Amino acid sequence: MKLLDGFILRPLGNDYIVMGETPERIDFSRVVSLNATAAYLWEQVQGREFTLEDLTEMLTARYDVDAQTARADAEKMLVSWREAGVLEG
Amino acid sequence: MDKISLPNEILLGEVAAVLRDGREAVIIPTGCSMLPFIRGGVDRVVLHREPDVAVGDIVLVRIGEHYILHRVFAREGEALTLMGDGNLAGTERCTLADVIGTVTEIIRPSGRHYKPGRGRLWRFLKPVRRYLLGVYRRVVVSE
Repeated sequence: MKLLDGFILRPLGNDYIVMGETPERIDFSRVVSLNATAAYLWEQVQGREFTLEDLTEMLTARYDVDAQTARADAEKMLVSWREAGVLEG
Repeated sequence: MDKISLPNEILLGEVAAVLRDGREAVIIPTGCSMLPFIRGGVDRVVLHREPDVAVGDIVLVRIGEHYILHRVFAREGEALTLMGDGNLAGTERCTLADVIGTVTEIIRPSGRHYKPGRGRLWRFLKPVRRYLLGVYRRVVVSE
């Protein structure tokens, strides 16, 4: 799977948001909000193909979390990304 | 998708920066001060920094700590008087320097989008605005 083009991660307040963006226009009306962990994963996989396993590995490598929890968290996050329409494949 | 509400000073601060760069920003205004043309929480608007501001334009301004999206009711040199289309009385005063951007498009939930008018007819109807808005609120159902 892959993140759709045209969505840029920006810091906003204490979290991060992703908005639809073209060179001419930024759409603040439809945003996906991400916490620091989700933002980290977003940055790691933007622009390339990735799998749930990739995300799980990134989480266990960076955070003190077991593989099962990491996988469950990554899965939940992917569901929200898919619902937000920023994921393809 | 859940709705997230961000404090104006954070979101509109970012919007202002984008507009200063010469780009467009799309936001969903809140409140009912621009009824019947812009329904808070429902319609989206495209904002852009225009070279000048004219009476009838719908502008986003920052007055002190507050952001306001209202129509320009009068202009005298650099001094602007604003009034929300959905307001019966009450105006705001500001200057050209307070204007962050102008609404160049209104986008309905259906996707239909159009250029806002100058609000001349609506302005002419100001004496009966109270009654028209009362009817509008009772009869019109959001998309």
